[in-house]
Parts: sequence; C-alpha cells; structure tokens
Amino acid sequence: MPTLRELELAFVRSMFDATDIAAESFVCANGMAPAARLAIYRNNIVQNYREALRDVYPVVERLVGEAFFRFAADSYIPCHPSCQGNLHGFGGEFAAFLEQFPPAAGLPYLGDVSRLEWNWHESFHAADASAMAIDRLMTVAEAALPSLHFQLHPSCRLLASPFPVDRIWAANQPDAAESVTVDLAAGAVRLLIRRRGDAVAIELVGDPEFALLAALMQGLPLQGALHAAQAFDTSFDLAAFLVRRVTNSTLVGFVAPTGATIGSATPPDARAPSPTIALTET
Amino acid sequence: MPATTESVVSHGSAVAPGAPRTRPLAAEIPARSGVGLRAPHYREILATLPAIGWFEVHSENYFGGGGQPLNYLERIRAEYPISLHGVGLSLGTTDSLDHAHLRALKSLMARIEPGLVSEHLCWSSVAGRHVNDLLPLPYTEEALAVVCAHVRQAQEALGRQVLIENVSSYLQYSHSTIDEWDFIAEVAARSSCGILLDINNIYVSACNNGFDARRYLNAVPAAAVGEIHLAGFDRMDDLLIDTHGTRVANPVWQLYGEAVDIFGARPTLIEWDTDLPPLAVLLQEAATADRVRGERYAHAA
Repeated sequence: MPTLRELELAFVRSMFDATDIAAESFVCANGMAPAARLAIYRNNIVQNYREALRDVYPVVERLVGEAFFRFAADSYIPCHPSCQGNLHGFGGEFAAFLEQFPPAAGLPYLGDVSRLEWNWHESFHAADASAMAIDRLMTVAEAALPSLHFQLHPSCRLLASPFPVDRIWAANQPDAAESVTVDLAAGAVRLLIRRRGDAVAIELVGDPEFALLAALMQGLPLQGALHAAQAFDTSFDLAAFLVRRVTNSTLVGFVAPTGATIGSATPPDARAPSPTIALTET
Repeated sequence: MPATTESVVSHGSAVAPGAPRTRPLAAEIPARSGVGLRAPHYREILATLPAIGWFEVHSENYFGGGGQPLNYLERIRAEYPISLHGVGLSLGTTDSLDHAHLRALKSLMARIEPGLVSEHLCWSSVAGRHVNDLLPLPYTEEALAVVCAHVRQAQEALGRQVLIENVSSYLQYSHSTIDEWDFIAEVAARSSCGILLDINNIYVSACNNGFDARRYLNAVPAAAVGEIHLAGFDRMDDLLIDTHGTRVANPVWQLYGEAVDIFGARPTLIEWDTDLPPLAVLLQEAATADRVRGERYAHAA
C-alpha cells in the first residue's frame, strides 16, 4: 500500500510521462484498465495547459498555425512544470523555449513576439495603483531629488527587441486589416507595455527613456537612472519626463532613502508650477 | 466564523438597469439559484442586471490584484452577493499548504467580501509541481488526517469557514478504506468546514465508479451542506466526463430534487466553463433549478 506521498509522486510522473506506469498499480480496474483511467486525467491536464497557452499567446498561434502551436505546446508542457495553483502563472518560459525549439528556428522573431504577449498578459492582470499627484514632487527638497527611488505602475513591463514586434503584434490582432506587410528589417524597438485604465497599451519609447525606465525598474535612484538616459542623450529633459510620466501614471510613487530630507523649506505655493530639476553630475 | 449552513434571507430581485444601487450590506448568498460568472458575460450582466440571486467566480482568476477582471468583479459585487470558489489550493497535497496562495485569496476576500468561500476535496500538486487539475484522493485515514489539517490551516489563515466540494472522479484507488461520503462527512466533522455538494459530480462518479448516488446523498450531514453545484457532463465511451460544457442532464435534475428533499433549500449554482453559451441559457438553467427546488419545497411543506 503506497503512502499518500508515494501515490501523489507516482501519479504526477505518469501525467507527464505515459511510460511511467507505477501509478497504475494503485488504481482499481473495475471494468476499465487503470492505464485508460489515468489517461483521462493526462488528457484533461494537457488540454488545460494547451488552452492556457492559447489564451496567452494568440499571436504566436496565428503566426505558426494551430497544428504547429499544438506541437510546440505539447513539447513545452511536460518540461515546464506549473509551480502554482493559479493557472494564469503558467507559460512564462514559452519565449525562451521557442527560441531554442529547432522546428521554429526559421522564425527568429517568434521569441520576442511571445515575450510581448507574456508581458501583455502580466500587465493585464497586474495590481492597481493610484495615480500620484505631481504636486508631491514639489514638496521634495532639490538636494534630495537625486536619491529618490521611483515606483512604476505595477502593470509596467519593458521589452527591447531587434525586430518590430509591436507591428507584428498589431498586424495579427483579430481586428487588423486583412494583409499587412511588416518589414522585419525595420529595426529594433523599445517598448513600454502598461495599462491605461483597464486596457493594456503597447508604447514605443526612445532609447534614453527606455534606459531610464529600465534603471528605475531595477531600483536605481533617480541620479543613476538619469545617467543611463544620458548615455544616449546628453541633453535628456528629465523635468519633462517626470511631468509626463507622473501625469500619465507610469510613475505612481517615490520613496526617499532613510534619513534623506523630504519636505520643502519653501511653502509649495511659492514654487513654480512645474518642477525644475537640475541634477548635478557626479 | 460565519455560519453557512442556516438558510439566509433572500435578496430582492435586481433593480432596474441604470438605477443607482449601493453594495448590498449583506454579503450572504441567498438560498436561491446563482450562476458562474465568466468574463464574456460581464458587460451584459451590468447592462441588464438579471434577476438572479448571486454569482460565483473562480478565485484564482482575480489573484492578479487589479485591472479589468477585478474592476468588473467589484462592479458586479456592488449589485449581487459573490461566492469565491477556489480550484488551486490543493488541500490534499502532502506538501505544506501554499501560503502565497492563501494570502492572495485572503486579500481578494478583503476586497470582494464574499458570502461563501469554497475549495475542493482533492489534491493538485506534489513536490512543488502543480497539475492545475482536481485529482482524487485515496480515502484512507492518512489522507483524512492530511486534508483535515490543511482545511483547519486554511480556515485559520482566512479567518472564516470554507466549504469543501466533492470532485468528479474517473478512478478509485485499491487501498481506499473509507467510502467517499463518509470521508467528506468526517472532514466536515473534524475540521468544522462546510460541504459544497456537487450533485453532478456525485452522479458522474457514481456512474464511473459504480456506487449508489442516493446512498451518497443520504450519508452527507445535512447541517454541513452550505451550497449545491449543478453542471453538465459529456459521455466518452463508458465514462462520464465532467466537462461543465452542457445543460444539466435529466438524471442530475432528478437527483437534485431528491437532494432538496433531504437538505432543504440551499444556494444552488449553475456551473458552465467550456463552450460557454449566452447568459440567457445559464439564466434558464438557474430558473429550472428554482422551479425544481420550489416544487420540492412546496411539496414538503
């Protein structure tokens, strides 16, 4: 008689490897072979995962066709176990898998299209956050600005690709025009994926802004993030960036390192309506 | 811990579309019919406010914490009581319970104020690997101890009673020593949880595994039954498959009538997950459940 643990381990092995028959000996035949009974569960589980992947990756499926997608999904599923009870968390390594999947080698952009769809999926489900009033920035002493850590809206994702994956994605939406030609040689894109209201938006951003957002996302303080932007554009307009990204809720908050001075010596009404931010080079 | 087993006062039917309405003070699920809430029906429900007692959702669909899913759920919650039905907690696992999963559920509960919270009498993960499906347990003293400990932990973490649902099954284990109906009764007795009795699952499992569905109904402790599920199945060769993709079958309606005789009026859910039909079809099925329940109840009174 197996322990519950032995049974569970053997059962799960047999779900992803039909040749592993250890679980069969625990199951009553009762008019139907144990292998056939276990196969019902195996089919249900694999079918659930296929459908979960189809839900997240409709553009990939459209690009490669239903049959190829199913073939790729069936190769992915046994090797990439789900590690949570929430099915929406399944499928996050599909992009990396497709890039290493020899039958898909002829579509070099497929990995980044998958990444875009995964980012879209994460952004769609991400937590909400209240907008930050731009006035909050006015209350920060100028000397404290360089050390601020900005928080991006939880739905923000960044994706850099050597392919025009935003255009590939748009051309493969259900409401897209019948035939759209996307020039694969059109060049690299830098994308910010985020929610505006409830809708996920895919936004092209320039190299300096992408570098700045990526640095903020990694937790760098404003000074360090600005340096990343200035590596692309020495005259990068930080004040304009902050006003725009706070106003459109890309940036939803900031924290100062412990001990830093927050709060202004001058009353807020004595300040200019838009922040003037001059960070000194270090 | 809120009681889920006593019958609760039913809410009035939905007010006219467009009329302002605040969130019902009571979150309790009325002893009427409800339907499973699925994304393709969100807009129609808000536009028409159908006269239905309540809605039930799969909790995990709202674990992201924001965006369109939660926005719609909160707007629908402002009009109707909501039941949170989990499919991923894996109460029968020999791993420890997933605390991140419980935290996500608890924060969803804080936001939605559900009338009922339910999970399944099953396992779906081991050694950190999830299969995201409802797998049957062997009915042994060992499994009983595992499930009861996890149900108690979950109820403690969530701060309320949960209902445990019987799953449909396509196999039995040769070393099971307890009948399923005695097992679920014992889980309720030992861990003070309620029971979500799925009549379709009883019927499907009875056909697949060769037991008497009526014996199951009669063995379940009536006071513990806080909710009933109804759904459709499909036939595949000699097995019934619990697809939730068709109307409730006639023998399941028959069994539901007998359940009403035994348990009285209980909140009753129409579940439909695959090949989702128009909302009107779900509402028709809910109306049928209301009629069957009404006839039986009137007959008994």
